[in-house]
Amino acid sequence: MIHRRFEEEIGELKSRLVRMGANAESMIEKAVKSLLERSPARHEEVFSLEKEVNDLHIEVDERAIGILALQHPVAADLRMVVMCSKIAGELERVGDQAVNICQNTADLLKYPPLKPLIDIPLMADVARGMLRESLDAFVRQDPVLAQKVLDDDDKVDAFKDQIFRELLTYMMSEPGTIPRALDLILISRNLERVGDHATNVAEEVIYAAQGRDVRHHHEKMKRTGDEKK
Amino acid sequence: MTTSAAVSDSRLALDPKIRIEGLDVFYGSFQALKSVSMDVPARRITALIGPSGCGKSTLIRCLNRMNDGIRGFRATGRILLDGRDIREPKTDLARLRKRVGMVFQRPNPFPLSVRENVAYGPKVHGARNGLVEERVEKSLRATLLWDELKDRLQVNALSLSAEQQQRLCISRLLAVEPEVLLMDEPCSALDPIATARVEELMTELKKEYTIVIVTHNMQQASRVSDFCGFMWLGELVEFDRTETIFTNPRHKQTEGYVTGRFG
Repeated sequence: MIHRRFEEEIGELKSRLVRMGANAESMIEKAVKSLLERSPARHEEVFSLEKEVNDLHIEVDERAIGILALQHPVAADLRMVVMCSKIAGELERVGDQAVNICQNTADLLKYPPLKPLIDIPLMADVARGMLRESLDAFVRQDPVLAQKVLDDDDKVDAFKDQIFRELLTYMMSEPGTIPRALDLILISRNLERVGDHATNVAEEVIYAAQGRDVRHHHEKMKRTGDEKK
Repeated sequence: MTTSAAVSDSRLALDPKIRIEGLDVFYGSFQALKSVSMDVPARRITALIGPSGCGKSTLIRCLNRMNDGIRGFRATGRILLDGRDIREPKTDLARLRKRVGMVFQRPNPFPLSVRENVAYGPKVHGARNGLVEERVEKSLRATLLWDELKDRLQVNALSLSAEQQQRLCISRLLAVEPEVLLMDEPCSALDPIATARVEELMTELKKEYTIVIVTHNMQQASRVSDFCGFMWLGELVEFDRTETIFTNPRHKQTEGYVTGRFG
């Protein structure tokens, strides 16, 4: 028989995590918009959301520890609580990436545009989509949707490589473009990290839902695939 | 470390139902409680934890003076119920035990029918028939026994299951409209599912009553209680919100006990 108090506590924990996810997603959206619109005005919104995300991170961890200490969950309930704490950590780092995008954008905006931005917005869409799907998978306890997120990580990595190659040719042909090219490379790295964090969330959803730890197995599968190439 | 720390720790409740001040208890020459000071917050569950022999049962029994009859029992200090010291000689013990009722480890229903068990208290305190019946139903509803037993109120209480008997004992208490419920290891004789149901009941009851529970089961203390007092060799070592006791206790001894390293 489940204690009502335990169910309420789990509900409170999950709702804070959902709020954290929505904030983190919004931060990435606003940061990328500030780059595409060349408008640093959006940065303040990102920074104020960062404070909320950080506060929620602390609150989620405190609540998770409280539940573990006082309610002693086991099996799927235990996995859920531990995973909530880990997912909060991933979302907090997504927030950090959004702040980094703003900082790199602020630097970039000191100069005239280097080139029309085509790949970066596409990459941002994929990364944000992965984040959103990983959070949906968490809310719905859906390991199938979580697996799709894992599979999408290759697309983000491909964008990162493509962007780097293109900007490398700019830098080699004209050294004056190096500062702007580097900022764009850094921004693509920030977005790649967002994809990684979404992947981590998805792995944790699979573990919570099914008790399967796919983290290193997934990496081993990727490495095996690369070796075969 | 112990006494003064416990005093400052235990003044947490702004609205204590019971305030214990400098309580020393002796059984003959043996000192069972050493200068215990503690506030019991109103309408909360306060748990007393600690190893066997630490004094937690002695302490809880002081709260309605159940120890008085024990040979060699002697106590100094004050126990204030709503600001009035229950240890004063002129205290009406029957009235005290109506206000502060107790449930024991082993259910102890009277060898009477279910109805007579619950009706006994109100009758003794002079309630008329109509009121008695009302109290019987209300008390059995409060412990979720009414639906199970309303068509069997005449059965002998001793034929009920252990869980039902314990609920019946709680109903018996509630029938005289107490303010404080003392529970000394109330679930020790029950299986895990019955225990969970009684714990759920306690969580409901605290909306109306102040509850003090003695338990050797730390997980139970962490699940149900709002405040926790850790006792060791007759001393109150630490008293705090349950979450603090089980996530970040101040005293090493408390940490050692709740983590199972000793005790």
